[in-house]
Amino acid sequence: MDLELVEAARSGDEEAFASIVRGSADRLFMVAHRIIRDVGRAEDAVQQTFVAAWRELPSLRDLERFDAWVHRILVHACYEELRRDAKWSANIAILPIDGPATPDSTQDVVTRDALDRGFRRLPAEQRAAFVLHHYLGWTVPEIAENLGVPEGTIKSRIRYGTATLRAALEADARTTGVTSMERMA
Amino acid sequence: MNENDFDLAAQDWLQDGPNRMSDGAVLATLDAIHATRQRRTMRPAWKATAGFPVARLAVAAVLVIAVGALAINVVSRQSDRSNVGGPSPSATQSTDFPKLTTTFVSPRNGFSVKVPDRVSLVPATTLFGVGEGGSDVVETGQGDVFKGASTPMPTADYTFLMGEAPGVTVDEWIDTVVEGKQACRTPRSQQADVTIDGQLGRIAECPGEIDATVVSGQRLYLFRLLHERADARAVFDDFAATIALTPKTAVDIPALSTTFTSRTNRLSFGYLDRRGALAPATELWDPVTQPLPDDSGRHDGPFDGVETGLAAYFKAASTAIPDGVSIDAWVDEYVPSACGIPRNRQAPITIDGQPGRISECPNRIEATVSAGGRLYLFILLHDRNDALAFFDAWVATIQLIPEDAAAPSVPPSS
Repeated sequence: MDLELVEAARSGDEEAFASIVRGSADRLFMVAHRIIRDVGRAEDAVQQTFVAAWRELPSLRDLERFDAWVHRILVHACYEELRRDAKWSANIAILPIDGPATPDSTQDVVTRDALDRGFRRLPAEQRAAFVLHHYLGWTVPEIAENLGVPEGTIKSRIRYGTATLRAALEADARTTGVTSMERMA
Repeated sequence: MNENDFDLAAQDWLQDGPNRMSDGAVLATLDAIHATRQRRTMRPAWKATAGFPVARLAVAAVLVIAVGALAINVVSRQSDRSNVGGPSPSATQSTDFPKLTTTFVSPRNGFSVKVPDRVSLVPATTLFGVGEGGSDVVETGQGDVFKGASTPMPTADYTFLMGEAPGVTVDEWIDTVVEGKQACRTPRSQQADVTIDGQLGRIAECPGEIDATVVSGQRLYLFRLLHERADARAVFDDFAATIALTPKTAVDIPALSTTFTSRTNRLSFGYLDRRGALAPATELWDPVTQPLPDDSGRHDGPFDGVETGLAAYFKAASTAIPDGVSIDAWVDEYVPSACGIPRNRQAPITIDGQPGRISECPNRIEATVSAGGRLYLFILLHDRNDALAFFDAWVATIQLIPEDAAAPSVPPSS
C-alpha cells in the first residue's frame, strides 16, 4: 500500500482515497466473495468497508497498519452481510459445479460441491477465519492480531470450520460410494 | 482424505471464483465515499478512557436496542453548569418527599433502589428499548415518576472497526445513540458529573425532568425523574444515593410473550413480536431429499424462523421419521450437527417434557428431540455471550404438537 496515498487520504484528500479504492477493490472483493459466496453482497461489503474506512481514517494512527485495518473492517462488514435480517432468507448464488474456471476431474467437481455446501453451513466467524487462513495464507497469530480476537478463538474457529467441511466431504464420499454400489447392484 | 489433501482441496476450491469487482460497484463505492464526511476526532480515544472495554462504533443489536430505548426514554437538557463535580449526596434536602424505606430490586435491569413505602411499582418486563416495559417505573403518587433501565454496552465482539481507531469515547457512543433524539443537544461530555453507587456518570437537568447515565460492568444505566417540583434535584439525588448497580444480575433476554403456532412443523413457540421478525415455514421439511440447513438461509423454506434483532436468529422445523430407526443414527445420517458432534455424544436437554440432545459451537446452538414419530430440530444462530440462556428461554416456550390433525403431512422418507 502506498503510504503517501494513505497519508493524503487521512488528511482528507478524496482523490487519494479513490486511488486506494481503485487499487484494492478487486483484492478485497475476492476475500469478501470467498466469505459470503455471493457477488452482489460481496460488493456491498466492500463498499461498506471503503465508506467506513474513509470516514474513520483520520483516527488511524499507524498508517502502516492500514491494510490490516481495512481487512478487519471488511471481515466485520462480511459478518453484517451474512447476518442482516434479509440475509437469513437470502438468495446466495450457487457456484457453477459444471463449469469450473479450470479443467477439472469429476471427483474434483464433487469435492468442490461438497466443500461449497459445507461452507455455507459455517457461521460467519468460522468462514472468515477459514478464508483468511486458507485463501490469504494468514497465520493464526496474524488473523488474531488483525481481527483483534484471541489466538485460541481463531484456532477454534478454523478447527470447527475444518471439521464441518471434512464432515461434508466424508458424507459426500459415503453418498457417492452408496450410489456406485447401487449402480453395480 | 488426509489433512494435506484437504488443505490442498480447500485452497484450490477457494481460488475458484470471481476475481474482479464490477465497474458499477466501484463507481457506486466512489459515489458513496464522495457523499460521506470524514470524522475528525477531537477528543482522546476510547482506549484512553479507563474502565471501559475496547468498543467502537457498534453495529450490533445492542445499538439498535439502545437507539430505540434512548429515543423513548432519554430527553436530557442541561441548564445548570454549576453542578460539575457531582452532587452526591444532594446539596439541597428534599422538602416534602417521603422517606425511601423499601428496597426495590429490578428483575431485569441489574440494579436496586430504595423507594417510599406507598408507591406504584411497575417492574420492567422486557428488554429496555424493545417496545414498552423495558424500564422499572416508580410512581410516587405525588406527581413524580422515577424510572430506571439499562442496556449492554457494545463489546469487542460487536466491534466494527479495529484497534486504535476510530477512537470513539463512551460519551461519543452515547451521543451517537441519542443523536437527534434528545430535546437537549448538550454532548454528554459537557453534562454535569454525578456519582451513582461509586460510578462516575453524567446528569442533565431540564424543566420537568432529570436524566442521568452511568456505566458499570459494561452496562449503560439510565435513571430518570419526571417531576413538577422545585426540589427535584434533591429528590433525584435521594433516589440516586440508594441505588446499587448489579450488572451481573441484569437479564438481556426479551420476554417471548407472543405465541406462534406452526401447522407446517407441528409446534408452537414464543417470540418477541417485532415487525418482520417472524418468517413461517413455506414448505414441509424432508431432510432425506432436501439440502441440509445452512446459515445462508438458502434452504430455510421448511423452517419457522425468528429474527430477534438481538444478535440471535431462531429457526425450527420438524419431519416425520421412519418407524424403528435409531434416532441418533438417523439424525447423524440425515441431519448431522453443524457442530460436528455425534448425537449420542451431545448433552441432554428436555424440550416440552421430551428428552432430546443439544450441541453448541461458536455462534450456534442446535437441539433435536423426537416426539410422536417426528424429529424436531431447533437452531439458534447468534453472536451473544448469553446464547445458551437465550436458547433456554426459547425452549421453555416450545410446545411439540406431533399429533396436530390439521397439519399437512408427507410420509417419512426412509
